[in-house]
Amino acid sequence: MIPGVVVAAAIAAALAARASARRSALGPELRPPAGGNVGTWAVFVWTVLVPLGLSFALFTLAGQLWAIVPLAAITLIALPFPIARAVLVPLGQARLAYWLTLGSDVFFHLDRKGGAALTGAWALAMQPELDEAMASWLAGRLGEHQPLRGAGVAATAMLLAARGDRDGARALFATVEAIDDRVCPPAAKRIANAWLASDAAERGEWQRVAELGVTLTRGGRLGWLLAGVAQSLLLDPSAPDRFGLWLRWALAPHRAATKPMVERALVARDGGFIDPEEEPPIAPTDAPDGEDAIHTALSLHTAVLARAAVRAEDVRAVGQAWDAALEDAATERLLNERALVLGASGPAATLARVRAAIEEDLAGVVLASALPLKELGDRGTLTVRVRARLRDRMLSEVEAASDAIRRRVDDKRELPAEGEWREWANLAERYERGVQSAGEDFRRLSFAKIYPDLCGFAVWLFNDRKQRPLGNAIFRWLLAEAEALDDQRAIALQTKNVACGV
Amino acid sequence: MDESAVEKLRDNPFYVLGVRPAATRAEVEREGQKLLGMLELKLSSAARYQTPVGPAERTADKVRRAMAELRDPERRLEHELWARLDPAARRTPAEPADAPPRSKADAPWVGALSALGWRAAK
Repeated sequence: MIPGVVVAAAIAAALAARASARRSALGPELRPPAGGNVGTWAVFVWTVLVPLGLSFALFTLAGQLWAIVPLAAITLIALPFPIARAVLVPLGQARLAYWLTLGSDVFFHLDRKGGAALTGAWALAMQPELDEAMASWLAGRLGEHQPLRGAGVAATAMLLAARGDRDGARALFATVEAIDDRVCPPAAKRIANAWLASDAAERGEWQRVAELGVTLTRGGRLGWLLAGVAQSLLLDPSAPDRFGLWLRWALAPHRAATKPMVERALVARDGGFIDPEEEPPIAPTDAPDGEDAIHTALSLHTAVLARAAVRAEDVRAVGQAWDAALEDAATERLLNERALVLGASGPAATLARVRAAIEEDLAGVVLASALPLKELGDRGTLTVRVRARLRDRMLSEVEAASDAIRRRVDDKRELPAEGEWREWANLAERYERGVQSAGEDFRRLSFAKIYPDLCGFAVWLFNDRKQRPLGNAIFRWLLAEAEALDDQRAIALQTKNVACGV
Repeated sequence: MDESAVEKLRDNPFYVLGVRPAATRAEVEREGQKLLGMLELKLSSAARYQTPVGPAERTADKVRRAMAELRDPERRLEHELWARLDPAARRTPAEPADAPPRSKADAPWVGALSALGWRAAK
């Protein structure tokens, strides 16, 4: 056995030395992306140390108890990330999880330091009270590692989650999928997708859950199971059958926690849930004589404010009722009479203020219910104004975020790499939310504004800042959007930019 | 539910003072003073008032603000329009308050992030 071990060690050492020589000759910026997902260290561990460990295991079984110590050491070296995830993360041991995962050349070969920070941040998130000193230590470790790669981005997102910034974490995790595979370990993408799927399940966004874990390789074991549960709950024809769902459950972690959800999904598949009847459309209460229009509008307005789940037709009904009331001659007469009695000026100013308040209320209702703007339709003065107000607000948010990035690029004001990722994730999230809500018009209008700003930002990051993974991710995103809008000039330029690599 | 809009309707000065929009200035002042006195004496009958979006808590501060609002003719005219709905006309909920929650297959999974090992259980 000994000569075999020596030969294998020599081969592994030679491979490591050759890889190291190539890296130092090219310099850090020009280093080509690592080929494959497993590094030289992993080859050494699994060809040399693991066979050695098996022999120690045999010694232990033969009663040689001293062999337990080297066997335990080799197990730690061979399986650092699975041990950290199974033991140290649930215990909240962030620092130990970081150091142990640093040796994971199987799961995080493409970004070992990022992977270590990701596992450390995950352990931090599991602490009942946030250890701020540990969070700063992890952020510092992450800052030392440049450029930021896929696992580092996921680690930044996990740190945000640990600090309670769930919206920020969601936006940042969502960008991990778009990072080039050459600089993003598959494990980081799986963790990001599984976190996003769990977050979407908690918010009841089952359609999103189903999209995130569509395959085992994309969603990981947990994401795959949650996707199967989501498809069953939504009665999707592509949902796995009973055996398939239990198989996913058996493969996935947290079986005790997921079992009730699998059972719920199976009941749903079998038609066990009868959807409760939807709330009837809102209807006005009885009006006193002579106050029909204003009473109807107020009554519907109150009903829609008090309703937990508002539908687009409810908002349209309120808008139409207010249109009728505010244009009604009886309303104007009533206001004129009261203005005369009270000594107020004419009703025009009052009506303008009331109209603005109604628009503000309805805009708040639409936002709180996350109703897509395109469902509001384009009929009725007030509804159209509410829709325009919300679309303008979303456009302004995107423009403000885009302007802030452009100004920083113009002034060459740098943020730490994780700050740059967050700015980009924030802008992309606002843009995508707007497109989802307001449709293609929003996409066309926003893209015209953000395209030059983001392109300049990405070029700056890629050429001057050497944050090539981020620059590449933005180029890829711009290319996808340009293709969605069939913008040929942008497609040609971004195709060239993407081809520059990472 | 948009809480700020509901609150605006709930805090309408006419509902706070328990008077209708046709009330005269003297009636508004008299009602306001009466309520302030009752609140001072901590009378339970003055502690709550009805609105079309449900009952609300009445405080001396709310009453003073309501009286001040209704002294301004322009502001009063606007509040009159918003208060034309009778507070007693509150729509009854579709289900009694003690009814069990209706279950839907795709209801959110409360506590999923903790249950799935992404954060500590609260």
